[in-house]
Amino acid sequence: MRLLLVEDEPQLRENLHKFLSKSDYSVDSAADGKEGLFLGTEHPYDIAIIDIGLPEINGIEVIKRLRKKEISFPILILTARGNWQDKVEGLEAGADDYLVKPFHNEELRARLNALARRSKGHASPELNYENLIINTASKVVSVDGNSLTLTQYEYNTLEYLALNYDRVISKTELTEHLYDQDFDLDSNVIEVLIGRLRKKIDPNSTLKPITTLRGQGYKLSLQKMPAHQ
Amino acid sequence: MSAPSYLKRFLPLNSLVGRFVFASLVLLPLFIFLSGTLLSNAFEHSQIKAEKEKLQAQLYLLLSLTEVENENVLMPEALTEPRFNQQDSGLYGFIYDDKGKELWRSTSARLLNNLNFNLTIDFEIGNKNTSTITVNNNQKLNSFSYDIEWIDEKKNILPLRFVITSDNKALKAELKGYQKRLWQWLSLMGLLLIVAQMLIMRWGLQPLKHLSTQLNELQENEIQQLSDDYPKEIQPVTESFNEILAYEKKQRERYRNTMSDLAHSLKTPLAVIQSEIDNRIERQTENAKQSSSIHDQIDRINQIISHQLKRAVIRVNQNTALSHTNKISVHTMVNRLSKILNKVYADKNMIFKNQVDKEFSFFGDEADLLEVMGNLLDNACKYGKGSVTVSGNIQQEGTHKKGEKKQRKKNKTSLSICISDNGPGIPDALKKTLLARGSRGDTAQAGQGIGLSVAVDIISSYGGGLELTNNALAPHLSGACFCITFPNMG
Repeated sequence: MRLLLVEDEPQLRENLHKFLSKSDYSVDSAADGKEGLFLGTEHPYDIAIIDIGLPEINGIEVIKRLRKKEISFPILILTARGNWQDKVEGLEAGADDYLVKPFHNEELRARLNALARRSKGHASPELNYENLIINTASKVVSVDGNSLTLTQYEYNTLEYLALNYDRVISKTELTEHLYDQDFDLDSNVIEVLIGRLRKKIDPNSTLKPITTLRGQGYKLSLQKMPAHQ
Repeated sequence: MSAPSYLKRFLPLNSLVGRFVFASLVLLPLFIFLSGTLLSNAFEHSQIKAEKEKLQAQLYLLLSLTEVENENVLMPEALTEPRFNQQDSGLYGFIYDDKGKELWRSTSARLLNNLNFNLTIDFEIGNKNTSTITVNNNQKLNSFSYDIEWIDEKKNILPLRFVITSDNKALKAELKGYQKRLWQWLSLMGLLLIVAQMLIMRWGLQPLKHLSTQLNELQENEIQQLSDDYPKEIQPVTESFNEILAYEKKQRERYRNTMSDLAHSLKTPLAVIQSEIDNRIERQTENAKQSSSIHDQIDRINQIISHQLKRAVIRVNQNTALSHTNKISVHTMVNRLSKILNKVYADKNMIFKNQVDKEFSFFGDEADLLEVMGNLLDNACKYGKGSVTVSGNIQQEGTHKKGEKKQRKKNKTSLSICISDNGPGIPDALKKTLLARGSRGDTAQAGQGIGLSVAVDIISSYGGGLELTNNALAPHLSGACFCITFPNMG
């Protein structure tokens, strides 16, 4: 999942970048509002973290301009003041959630997961597709109750297909959402990832969980089931 | 300048109108009395002088009619002045020789007796003398005498004293009438002057009354600054006042910004430390137990900073003599917050019931209401099970004590806002701790943020209160119900 991080404090930006990358996000960082706005406008991110107090263009203004351009990825704002005026201002500008500094990385991860899931219209962190269950909070995938061991990119590919199960996802889109902007695009990587996923989820080729639509892309072919309560 | 205390007790000297009226009531009668006396005396003197001139004219008339033959004074039977010919007319003429012997008297003086005309005055040719004589029963007459030497045709010299007297009854009546009219008119003028002065004062003090009304409106937040239509004498005061208000507002904003900057500059390093520790734990380069204790300390520092900064901002607002406040619709505020909390708590599918009347308003700083309502609604969302009800109520406050802000015409009302949720509620043991004003954020228990304590502080700064009730307003809900009361709203 591709994430935009806009934070002016270098140390915090670096720490968050490391943490989020480890949490299977493809992270692009920006140090000011201007750069953040540029990246947000140019790339199809799945989620963004924007600090309110930014140089060049403040965070609220960045969010307003992104929303004005009809860019709809979920945005989490970081605020140092933590007063409701700031929170309301940020949320009314178009942000979807807030986090007051300082915060625990785990809390940030949980909020990001919830936001990403909600943005795709999934109420529960558990995505249930017939006998395939993907827990977006714990990042655990199981088939018929048996956990699978997936690499970060395999998991991200499956999660992205699952979150967008009602659409055909092109290779380009998958690449853009799985890798950050510095990644050298090579279509074979996606094909290899899809192939490995098919083998791990459906070793006997009975389920056929991912369909290839020639010239268009990939689609999760399993039926969506209601989440377990 | 203050008046002595004993005067203050009996006189309305604590008002400008009272002072002016008191001064007028003391000075005006004195002024009128002195003016009346002066005018009366001047009139009397002019009348006496005129009388003397009249007597002198009559005397010259008498002289012109006098003839002397063989040392005998001959006068015509009837004189040209009719009053000499009519008995007791009030105008009498006499001619004496230098020994005081009466040589002639006018017909009008025939019945006069006991004349005590002072003949002791030495006869002296050319001497003119004015005096008062008493006749009959103490009847006072003004007299004018003139001593001359009469030389007849035979060159005999005859010394003669001509005396003209007149009754001063008419003069006295004239004076009395004049004085009566004078005092009546002066009194009437005095009254008119007092009334006119009061009207002038009322008109003159109108700008001060307007200023007082505007100051009240300023406190009530109906206006943001004083108008600029004051007379030039008051204009410098109102302009200075407006400048102070603007300066104070600017200072407050600057203070708030400084606080924000401080919060930002303190909390961002804390966030860096926190993320650094989190990363190290993940990399397992840090002892988890030690890290946990550092986490706790960071949390404590964070809470102390947040708490103290928010309290400082509240104190700034509280210490402002005339804080700039706005009329804020509570209904709209609840709708705004519901909308954004629906986003934040999307997983819970929140249902907000806004039962606050659209007419209910909060008079104060919008940021304060936002902070209070934001914290309470956030708690209701966090601890409830998806349903939050907000209701409002307005109550008339008790009448003011004697003398307390008499000029305020409006009745004061208090605004109550109750926020109920359908969560597990709050145990009785925790209720008091939660609502204690000024409770320190750093002593907060796990899961208890500083939000509620800040809300309590803000509410207290408005003289209001926060109560935890048993959902009396929403009996269908079982959770917590926080009721805020703000006095002096509307």
